[in-house]
Amino acid sequence: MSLKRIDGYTFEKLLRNGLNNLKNYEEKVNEINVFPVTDGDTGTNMFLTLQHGIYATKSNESLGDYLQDLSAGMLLGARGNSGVILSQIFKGLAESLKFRNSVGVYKLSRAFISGYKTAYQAVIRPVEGTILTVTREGIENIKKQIDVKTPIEKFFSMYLAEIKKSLANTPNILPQLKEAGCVDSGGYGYMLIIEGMEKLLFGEIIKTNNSQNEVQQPTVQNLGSSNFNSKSDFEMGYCMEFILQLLDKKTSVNPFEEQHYKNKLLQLGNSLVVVVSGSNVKVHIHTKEPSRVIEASQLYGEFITFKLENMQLQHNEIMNAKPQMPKKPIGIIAVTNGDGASELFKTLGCDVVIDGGRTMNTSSQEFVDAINSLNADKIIIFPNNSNIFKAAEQAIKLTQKDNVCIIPSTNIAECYFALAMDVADMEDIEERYNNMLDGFNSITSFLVTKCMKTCVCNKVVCNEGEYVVIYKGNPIASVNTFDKIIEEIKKYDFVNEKENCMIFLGEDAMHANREELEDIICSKLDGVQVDFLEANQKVYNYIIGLV
Amino acid sequence: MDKKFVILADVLSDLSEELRKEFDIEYVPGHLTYPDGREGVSRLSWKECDYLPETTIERFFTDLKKNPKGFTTAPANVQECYNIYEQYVKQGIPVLAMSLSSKMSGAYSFSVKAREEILKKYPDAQIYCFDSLRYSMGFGLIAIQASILRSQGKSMQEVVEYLENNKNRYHQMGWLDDLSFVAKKGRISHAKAFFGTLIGIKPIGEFDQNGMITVLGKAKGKKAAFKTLLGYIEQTIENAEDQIIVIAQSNRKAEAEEYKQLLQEKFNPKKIYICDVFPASGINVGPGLMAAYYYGKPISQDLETEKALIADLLKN
Repeated sequence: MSLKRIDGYTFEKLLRNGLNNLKNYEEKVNEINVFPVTDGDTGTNMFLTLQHGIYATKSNESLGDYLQDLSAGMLLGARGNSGVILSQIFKGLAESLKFRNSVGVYKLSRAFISGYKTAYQAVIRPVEGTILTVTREGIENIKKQIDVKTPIEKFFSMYLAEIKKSLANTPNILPQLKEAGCVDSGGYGYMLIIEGMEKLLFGEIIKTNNSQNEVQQPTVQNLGSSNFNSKSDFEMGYCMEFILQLLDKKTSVNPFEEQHYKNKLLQLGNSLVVVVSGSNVKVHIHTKEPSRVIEASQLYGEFITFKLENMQLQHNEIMNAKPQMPKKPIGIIAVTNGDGASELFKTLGCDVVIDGGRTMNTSSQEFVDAINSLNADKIIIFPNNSNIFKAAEQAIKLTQKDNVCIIPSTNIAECYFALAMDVADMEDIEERYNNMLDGFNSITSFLVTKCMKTCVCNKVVCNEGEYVVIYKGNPIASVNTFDKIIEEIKKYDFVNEKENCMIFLGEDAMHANREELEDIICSKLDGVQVDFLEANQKVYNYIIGLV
Repeated sequence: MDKKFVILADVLSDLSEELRKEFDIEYVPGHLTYPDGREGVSRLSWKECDYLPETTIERFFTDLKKNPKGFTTAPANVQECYNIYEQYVKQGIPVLAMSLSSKMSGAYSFSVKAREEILKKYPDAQIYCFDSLRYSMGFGLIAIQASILRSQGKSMQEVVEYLENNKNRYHQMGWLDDLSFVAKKGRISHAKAFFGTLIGIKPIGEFDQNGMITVLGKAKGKKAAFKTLLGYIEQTIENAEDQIIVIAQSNRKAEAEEYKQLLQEKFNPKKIYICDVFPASGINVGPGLMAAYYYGKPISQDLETEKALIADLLKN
């Protein structure tokens, strides 16, 4: 069944399907919102805008009247940049279809043109590679292909396909998108609306799935990486390579003449290489018509090997590939064994976190791999364990790179504070390095671990099951309560001048009563601000950092 | 009072009821969505906040911290701006429509578009759309300045001229404990801002020429931070004793009080206000803003001068 005209009732049904489609991908659209401001709300804003319009509008058989009310509702309900642009598109539709009860594809396409034009006018400085481009190209690319006979269904299919194509191209227009590796969020939202409309025309009713992510989502990646699809151009042709076995049965009828064969193939393509070796002929050619090359070859024999590659696909893959990671000013490598610390370091700009395992015994090879994985002007290693300084040094020698240095951190607290002091956009690399070094030097840390076996170390009797407090690599006390740990720490005068106390909770202390610990610290260390970090490190129940 | 013109800020100015009354400033509310999907209206008063029946600043920022993605904001759209402008235009009152930095939001462009639409219907309407290039009280303080000039008898044209020539002199000097919000909402000038938890560190923030928040340096601890802030203001403020300084805070009331006292002692300005950061700004800046806004020397290109100054202060 094909639909020749569309009225207000039908349009509303389609649009509601579009709204549901948008709702189901709202979060997805939010996620890829990087332009003009990366505020992650495009999906929400577009959804709310369209929803306001639909909810504020009574069903109406007259398409013109329906759109009038709808666009008024959307203008008033518009949220954010994308919402305002969307409402303007519908304003353009409404203006174009004023007083029309129902329309066919021609008027409909004029209305979508009016829609994007109104949207362009609404933006002070229109930027290409956005929803504006998608709405413009979507309709401009099909307007000449439609005539009075085109059914509504076909119109929407064509429109949707062009929108998707234009959308997939947005990263090539807008550098911010390319850098973020995504398509334009507003354009994506618009595509979802039109997709929902199109789907209903082919009988697919879309329900909102409140439990998101259950449905297989046609992700942006699919869109962006569909490097060869039903709408692709085919300019590049195939790369063909084969070895032809000349057969006597055939050559006796059609004698094989190299030059003649070459001339024939040259008419079918380029980049031709023909090597004759005995009764084997090796051929390489770029052609758009592989069947004719096959035909011309089979006159003389049959194929031993045969390879055919779509060069357009390869070309598109290269063109659409994410840009190589640009060189960073500073690359940072840190060793840890707690997932919490690992996450923390990454959010502070650490590029490679090496899992040191329980003993934090990272090998030179692991350091070498980490160093080689980075493309940076300067690379800084935080070993976070004095026992592996040598391994790190060795690794630097092995890589023969002179831009790698070590900040000799002996634990994760020192590493944390160094990373936290970094101001990532400072241009001067040495200044950044010095800031990190300053952070590293500013923190005093005490490590607390449970004693596994009674022993004497550094003249301290460490009793099995007690907390051993370690300062600068040596045990300073063995005690049985947290209270006493703080007492021991307090014996160092400088501790009383500290403003902040950060406790890195180990895997055995994740469930400690933090309020209790905080009270203990505050009662003993005057005016100190206490914070907890869920580092989840092994071996050390607590790592106490003071600054 | 028969107004010469209305000063119409938007909800991102963070001008409290008290300040709006004192300086006779109106504002355009905006939109919010809450974690349960509910839509709200963003206003500049906790009493009118529709998040909870009785929303407090503490509760709001505590909940926001727990669920940063659950809250979104949007400024008044073109039609809403139009409707508000029209009320004044019909009465023949000129409108000074002031917006949050155009680099951070579409608010300014919506305002410009609404003005265009108004002019189609009311060709004689007087509306000036002012891009403050600031947010929160940085923006609020410029609106206050507009009001002071108006009360001195200046025309809208004169006020606008002054503001356009001087908006680059409005500074922010304070810290933002938690950079994750401004990083996620694209309001920080750093392209690659890292936003992990910072303990014992106060990132010191200033506006760049576009009004984006820029971390000039990091101070170790509160004491060092306060020392740096005061040193910075000393070198950038002009005629301190004639000035109004405003401190904005998002759940950092105690520190703001401390700051106020230090500023009072050192600069003895005409007046210092402490203001809350309300939901619309708050959702974008998060908890942990504690900053003073003041008028001073023009801000340099790429903040070169200011960065050097902070680096110098942090060393000592």
